[in-house]
Amino acid sequence: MINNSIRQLEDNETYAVIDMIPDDKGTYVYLTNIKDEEDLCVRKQIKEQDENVLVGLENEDEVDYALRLLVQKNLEA
Amino acid sequence: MNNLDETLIKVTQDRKRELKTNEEELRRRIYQKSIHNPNRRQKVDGEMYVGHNPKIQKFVKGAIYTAITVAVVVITAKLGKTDEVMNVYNTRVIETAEAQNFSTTEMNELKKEVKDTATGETMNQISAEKATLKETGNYDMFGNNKDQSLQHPGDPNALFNLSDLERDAIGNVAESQVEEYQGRGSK
Repeated sequence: MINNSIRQLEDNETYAVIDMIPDDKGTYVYLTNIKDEEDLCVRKQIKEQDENVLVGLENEDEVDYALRLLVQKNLEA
Repeated sequence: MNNLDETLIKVTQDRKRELKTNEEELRRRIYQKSIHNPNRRQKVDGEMYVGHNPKIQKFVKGAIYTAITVAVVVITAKLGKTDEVMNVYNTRVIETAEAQNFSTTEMNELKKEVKDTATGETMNQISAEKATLKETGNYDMFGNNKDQSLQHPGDPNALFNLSDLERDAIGNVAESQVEEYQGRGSK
């Protein structure tokens, strides 16, 4: 079975999925480098022709938006 | 400033001392790694999920705490920097208008126009001007003017020190704003 809770990204480092937040544009996937907890990045899981694809965000504003969602969700929890 | 912003600032004060990476590096890295690039498109066989096994769960628990701190630092740095850019911009508009002997009425009209323009719109103009200035090759990778005589002195009271590139871009946009106002007035 494929382990989709970790992912190797283009820098060849391994990242663990630490949270996922669905939104209108797709599902934001928050990934942390397993060797460095401060190395965080955000990607988006979208559907393309019935396939799930992980893509980067459009610009800094979308990154800020995704970070706000993460903070909001976890501060309210 | 909305409630979330205030909460973020309080959280940052408490937590950011715990981070090993400096703020600028955190910001640079997260934007660089998260923004779209065709090489970053990855097919997912199935669905992504947060790991369930105890080892991963333990990691996730600690990593979420750190991720929130990183997120808060990045968001508040952006808010603070935007405030700083807008303060410098407003000052530059007024200084430019004063140098051109604007009347009190003209000055008040201009100040109102600047105040009524959406912050996002002004920030976009400044970003575009920064990109244009960068292409001149007159600035190093940190935004310092290579000609030392044209470097701006740092402001010891500023929360976010702006680079020469940022200050020059702000100055140019401020001058354009004043010129545009004058152009409309002379019609």
